[in-house]
Amino acid sequence: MNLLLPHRFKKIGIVMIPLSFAFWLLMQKGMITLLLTLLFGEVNYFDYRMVNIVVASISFFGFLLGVYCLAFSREKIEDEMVQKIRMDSFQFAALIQLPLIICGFFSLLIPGNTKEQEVIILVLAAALIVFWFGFITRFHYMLHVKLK
Amino acid sequence: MKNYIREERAKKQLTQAQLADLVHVSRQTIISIETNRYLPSAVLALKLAQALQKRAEDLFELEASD
Repeated sequence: MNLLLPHRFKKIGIVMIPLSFAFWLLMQKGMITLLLTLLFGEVNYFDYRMVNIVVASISFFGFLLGVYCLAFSREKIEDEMVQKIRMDSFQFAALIQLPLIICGFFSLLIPGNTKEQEVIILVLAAALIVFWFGFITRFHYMLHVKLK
Repeated sequence: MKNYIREERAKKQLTQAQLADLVHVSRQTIISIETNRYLPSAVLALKLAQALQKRAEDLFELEASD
């Protein structure tokens, strides 16, 4: 079973990741609201808040989609060495993710910790980011730097 | 595992890219095999032997550490 995307999706991922991150950052810094205020003046605050939520959702899912495109697209020549590096990189990513999940779990057991929900969300988000960025970084480093 | 890919390729006057095309892998893979950074599968070893018109055991040699 081969679930890899064609090679051109790698370029799409490379464009989508920084673009989505930039939009998310602009939204977080209130630049979207500022821009809308400059363009349309002081309208209903609720409308701008909705725009911000839409921008946040699109940029978050755009970012994730970009990460998946980058991680799951074929190399120009997808041979056995590339497949081995891909497999090793998945193992590496899973290994670096594991201590994070264990630490996150034990942090829930700390007496007096009243922010369990926040910790769980933070650990899940960090685990997701560590896994995919660990995989992408290790895979491309091995392929394009170490074995070049 | 020691290999004689580089020597045999030079004898056949093939470039790394040409050999890579013959066995349908990337040039990077040939470089990695020649420099012993990657150990090819049995299938690829046989393909390399076929491309270089040699027996696989003439191209690859076990070392004491293997």
